[in-house]
Amino acid sequence: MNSAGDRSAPGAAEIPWRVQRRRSAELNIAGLALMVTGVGLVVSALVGLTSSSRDVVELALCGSAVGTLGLFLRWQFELPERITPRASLRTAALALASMIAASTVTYLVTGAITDLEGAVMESTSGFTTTALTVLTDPEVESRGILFWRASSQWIGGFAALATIIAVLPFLGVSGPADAQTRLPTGVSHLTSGHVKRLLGRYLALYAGLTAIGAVLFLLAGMGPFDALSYAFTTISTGGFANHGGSFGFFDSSLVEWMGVAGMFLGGLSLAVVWSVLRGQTSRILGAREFWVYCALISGATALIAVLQRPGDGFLDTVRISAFTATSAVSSTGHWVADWSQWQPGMQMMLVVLIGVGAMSGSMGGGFRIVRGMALFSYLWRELQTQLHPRLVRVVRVGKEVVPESLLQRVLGYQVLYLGTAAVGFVALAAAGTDVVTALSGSISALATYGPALGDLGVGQPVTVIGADAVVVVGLLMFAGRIELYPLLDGVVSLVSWPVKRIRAMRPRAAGSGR
Amino acid sequence: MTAPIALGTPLRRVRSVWVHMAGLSLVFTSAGMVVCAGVDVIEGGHGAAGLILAAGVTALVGEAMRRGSRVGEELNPRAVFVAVSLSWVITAVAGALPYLFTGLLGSFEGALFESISGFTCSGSSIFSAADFADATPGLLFWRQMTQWFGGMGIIVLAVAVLPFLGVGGLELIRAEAPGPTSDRLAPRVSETAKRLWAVYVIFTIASAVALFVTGIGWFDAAGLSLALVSTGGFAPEAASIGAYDSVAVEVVLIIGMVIGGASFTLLYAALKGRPLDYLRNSEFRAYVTGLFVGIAAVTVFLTTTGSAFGESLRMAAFNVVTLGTSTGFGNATGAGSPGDFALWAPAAQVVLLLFMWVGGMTGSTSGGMKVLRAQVMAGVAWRELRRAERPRIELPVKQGREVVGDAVVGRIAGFVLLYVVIVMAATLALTLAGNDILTGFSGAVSAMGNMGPALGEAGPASSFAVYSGPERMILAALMLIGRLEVFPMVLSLVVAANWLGRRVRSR
Repeated sequence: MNSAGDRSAPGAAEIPWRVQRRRSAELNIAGLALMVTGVGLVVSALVGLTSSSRDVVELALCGSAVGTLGLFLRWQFELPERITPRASLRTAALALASMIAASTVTYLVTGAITDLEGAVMESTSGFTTTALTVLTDPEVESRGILFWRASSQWIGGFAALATIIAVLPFLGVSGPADAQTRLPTGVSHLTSGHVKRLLGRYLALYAGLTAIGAVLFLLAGMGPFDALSYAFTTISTGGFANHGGSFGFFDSSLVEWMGVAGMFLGGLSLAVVWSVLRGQTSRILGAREFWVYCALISGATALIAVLQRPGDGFLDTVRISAFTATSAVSSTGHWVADWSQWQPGMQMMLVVLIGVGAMSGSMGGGFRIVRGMALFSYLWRELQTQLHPRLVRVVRVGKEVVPESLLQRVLGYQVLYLGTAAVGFVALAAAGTDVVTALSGSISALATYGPALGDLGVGQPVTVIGADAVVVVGLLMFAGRIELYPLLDGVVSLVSWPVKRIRAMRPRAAGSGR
Repeated sequence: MTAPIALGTPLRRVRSVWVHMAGLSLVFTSAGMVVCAGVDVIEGGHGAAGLILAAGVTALVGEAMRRGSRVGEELNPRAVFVAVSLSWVITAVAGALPYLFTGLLGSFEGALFESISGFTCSGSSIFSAADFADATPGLLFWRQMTQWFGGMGIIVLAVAVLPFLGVGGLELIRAEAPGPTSDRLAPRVSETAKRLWAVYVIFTIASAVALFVTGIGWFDAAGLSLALVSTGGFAPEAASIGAYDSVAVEVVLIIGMVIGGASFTLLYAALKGRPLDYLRNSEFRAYVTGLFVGIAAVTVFLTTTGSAFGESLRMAAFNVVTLGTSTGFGNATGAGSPGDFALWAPAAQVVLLLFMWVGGMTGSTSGGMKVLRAQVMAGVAWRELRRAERPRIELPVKQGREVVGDAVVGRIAGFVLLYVVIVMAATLALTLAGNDILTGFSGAVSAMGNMGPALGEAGPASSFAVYSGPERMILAALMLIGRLEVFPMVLSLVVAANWLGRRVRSR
């Protein structure tokens, strides 16, 4: 469509291959996402080559095709200086969706997953760092495919963090960690040097943490391939496993302890990690969210160890408890014991912890601890105001004051989060799951944890809940991974579009009577 | 001030709001017990003596508290919250006496649960079928009557006869009345309270007559009407409404429940000749729309899982309304019958569970979070989504055509948050005590919303006897917290904690 007319545009003579670039943040970033996906696929093909040639050609072909498409989009569409919030929301949704689409095609082309729904679900699960899989036995898959599954989670983990930092900062929803980006609200500055530096720094940290994780797993006795793929799925708080039994497969307490460490790092705010590396230990000591994160994990560990006693000896019990608690709080989804068969109180506690989620600025999902802290502080003020109606006081998280405007966003986000979980609850039940599966599944998918209670219990393929329910779960994971807004905004636009059209069609005279 | 008792030295009256309010409530309660003793005699029961004894004890204590105390001129919020909370707790304790003195329930804990469930209009019962058979008619009537007292509120009753509570009266009513707003029906607070009770009495008599016409006998008609207008949910029969298995009774009850779950200000207007006020009220429209949507959804879910359409519609209509108004009648004729919604398709159960959260309208006798709050929360969600596109836009939250101020929105958001946190904490406690998740979760939601039946093991064909004694005390606490709209009870605890802290520190 932009062939003849555009070529005659002024400036075409000087740089003929650049002038036609149009400005579109959506398509430019989608191109970037596809390029990354393509690189990931090609790397997976290379890794697959280390054991057999199965799936290698397909992976490499898909990778090149996807990468080329991404390059083409980047070449065709330029990143604008300023992006409207609406475009940012679309950008976030489109980037995630395009990665999922590319991965879906790959699964279908390689034949690793033969049905469309399954392939979409596996891809969504991957890029949303959720631990729900459609594979009954991952071990029969080729190394290339297994590595691609792990890579999709690794890419997805950072993509979500980058989305929150760079694309959606104006939402003010990532909590006080936001203050460090010091961005003016209202527009996203994708091209600003500050955001680029910040993203580069976080990417380096992320890669570093992954490398540490891989080395830890190697030292604990995993093979190099497993070590790298488990590091990918652990640091990204993803939760895919190369084996049917997740971490339990290795039957090694050392590996499991390393898994605990990896998941703990994944749920940790990268801002906190950065402060530690800079030697600013006072800042980590002052970060109240960090202490609450630690307290949640250790408190849950203690409760599980005392009330459930999941292991044989003391160390066994502590290890299983710590693993399960860390997995829940960091919203990873790895498992060593089937906690969906534990006593009801433990199940309930873990579901609540999954819903609360990890630290803001981490790869983990959920409501985020910092928002919960802001809400509790707000609640305390509310109670005090009722007793002393003329009281004026600020809401704090740790020592930091939460501005009233940000507080409103947090309150609004609380309503959206609970509302989305409730809608998911009804939809899952309507799709035929039992009440407990629907409730826990909705919370778990929204927090991008994955397994839940009832039919969604750990260690089973997600397909047992039926195709309709799988679609609902997939949508919840998608919404939860990019902070709800992009997907909900899309839904609202879809609903309000016909309404607007009808209103536009109505003759003006009808309304003039007022 | 004159001496209350003409003996030697005059007693000095203690200045304490809560003692006075609680004393007054006890006096009213004892009058109710005397009425029940009369019913017992007419019906040929054997429990009149026990009821009179309970009434005597209650009256004596109440009168002593009332005469020994006085109310100061000004009420601060702290005093209001403490007075309302303590009055309710003390009245509930007195309400347990008839169960003990007639010899039906052996344990104080069981009697207290039944009494709290009654006064808070929850309607969860620990009565077994044998208990219904053994109970004397007067006691069953007392059980119904506790709901009637609790529905409009014992404080409202007290305010109606306390002319001296000028400023604080409205605050007291507000602290007790369900819902974030309570409209004044008259310039004077005590006049407002009187009119509210007058509307309540008229409504009760009308529904009793309507139920009597369906042919269920005067005792059942009167008893049911007491639990109907208060959206309580106790029934004088072991199988609740299932005992009649009559469409006519269910239709009368559905109409009564919908009115009971709607604002009494609107009912007052309707009785004054302005019935169209109902349709002008945006909350009422949302409330009725919600009920219709719920009935339609449940009917669909029931027909697709194998029930006939007519039966599905009947079951859906009755049970959605009974939970959507926080009444809690059941029309199950037995375990596993069509009305036993604990065995319905999961989707239908989830719809009921959502109605248990929301409940009825503000200014009604119903429980739950209230339709108005749900409306405002939906408005907040809508604003939040609009703001995602235009972050700097200043948008008001609207309810109908009225703008809801930011302070009110913040208060409602805090209420919802507190409500959710308390329900989740109670669910944790109940599941840790060994209940399965569905029974624990739905039990907590049901108790907090003053519903009555729950799901899982505590469904409509079962009873709350499935919970152990300590678990029932948790549920009873939830009922009180929920009935008084969360804040008074929680704030009383905060006040108590502060007071204890000061005492400890001063040592």
